[in-house]
Amino acid sequence: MEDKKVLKLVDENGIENEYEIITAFKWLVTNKNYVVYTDNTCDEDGSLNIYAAIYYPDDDTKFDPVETDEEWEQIEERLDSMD
Amino acid sequence: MDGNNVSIISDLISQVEKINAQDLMHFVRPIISIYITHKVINSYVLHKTHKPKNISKVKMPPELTQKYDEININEEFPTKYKESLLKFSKVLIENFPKEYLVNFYNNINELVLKQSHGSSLKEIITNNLATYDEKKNKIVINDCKESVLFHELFHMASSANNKERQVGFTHGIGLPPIGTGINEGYTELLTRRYFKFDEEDQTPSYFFNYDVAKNIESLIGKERMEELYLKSDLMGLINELKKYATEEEIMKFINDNDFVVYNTYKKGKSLTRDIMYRQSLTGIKKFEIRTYIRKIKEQYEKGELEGDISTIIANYIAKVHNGVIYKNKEYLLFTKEDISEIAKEELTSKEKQEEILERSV
Repeated sequence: MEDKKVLKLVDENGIENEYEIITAFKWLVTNKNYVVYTDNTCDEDGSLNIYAAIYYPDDDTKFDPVETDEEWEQIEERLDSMD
Repeated sequence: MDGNNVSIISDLISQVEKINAQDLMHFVRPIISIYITHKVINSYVLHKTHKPKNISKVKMPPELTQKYDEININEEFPTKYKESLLKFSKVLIENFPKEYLVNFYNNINELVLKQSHGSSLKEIITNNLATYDEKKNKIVINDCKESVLFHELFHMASSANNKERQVGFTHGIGLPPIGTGINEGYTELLTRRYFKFDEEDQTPSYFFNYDVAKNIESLIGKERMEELYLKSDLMGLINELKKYATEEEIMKFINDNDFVVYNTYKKGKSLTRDIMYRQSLTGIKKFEIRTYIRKIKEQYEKGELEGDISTIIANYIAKVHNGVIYKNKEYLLFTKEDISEIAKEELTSKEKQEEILERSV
């Protein structure tokens, strides 16, 4: 069975938080790399809490929020297509 | 062309002109998929307002930070070796999933190759036909056969190019790096497996390590071992071996392999080194036998074994390479007593211990 992929985010105080990666992809329309991840917690309805961000393979200090509706739409399509 | 056909074509052209290219983009999915989990997600909530804050460092798995996904060889790469490089690339792309080739793609386009003439003092002393420098992503080649170049290219294809100096199963946290013995043996195995192997090309110093690598691969599985190698995952290999050995046994096995590979060509007399060398060889073979017995025993206990357990183990031991020539003398790596000791430790049935002992020697 494949091991899960883990994303670690270190904050300015040196505290490291771990997340499980759901998917990662590059969208050629924006030419950006997106990572969709979870902390494996659920909301009150039992749905998995999922987050997304833009990462940079060449720069491990940058981690940007997803901004546009088109990008969110792409991420949701990706998640829905995983079924 | 008759009037009807002209009319049909005109209609077709006018229809095509109405198609909005922007709309078409919706049906084209310009995505490069890098990773998808196998995790089953029944329902999710996507937090769009959540914004990562004050992140000083992002640690992504190396396989998700691939720089390239196609071959685009450096123009300065020597023409004489370009064909070999392309041949190597084709073989890798055809035989391995893209997920295993992140290191390969990250390194190949920036690979430097330098022709040496074997006249430097270091080259004369080390007798190296070629070397791969993972810090510079550079191969120095000493006018050798193509298979030697392929061996170094496998090092390139398995180099994580990081400060831990992970190349294949080597981990360079100390000097010398650990895992070199298994790494060289397995690199040699892959070179022979995927490229035509000429008996004359056999590197004596890797012969033993090649044999060991073959046995370890049969223990954990070909596909898994190839994956771990190309992803430069020594920890992954250790974790696989933990199914059949303790961490202490595994680290000793790795160290023994390293000792062998570093000392095979060492010049000068040293009684201590000679003794340690032979002990390392024996230790390696005992590890192989022990882990094999444990694996077979596990299969037997799960009812997955076809055939008699004693016969299977005895046949295996009989085939294990038991002799080695070191400094023009032949040595036995293990004795009847060694096998007896291992059988006693690993198998509870006295009958099976005796059967194995009788049949394997």
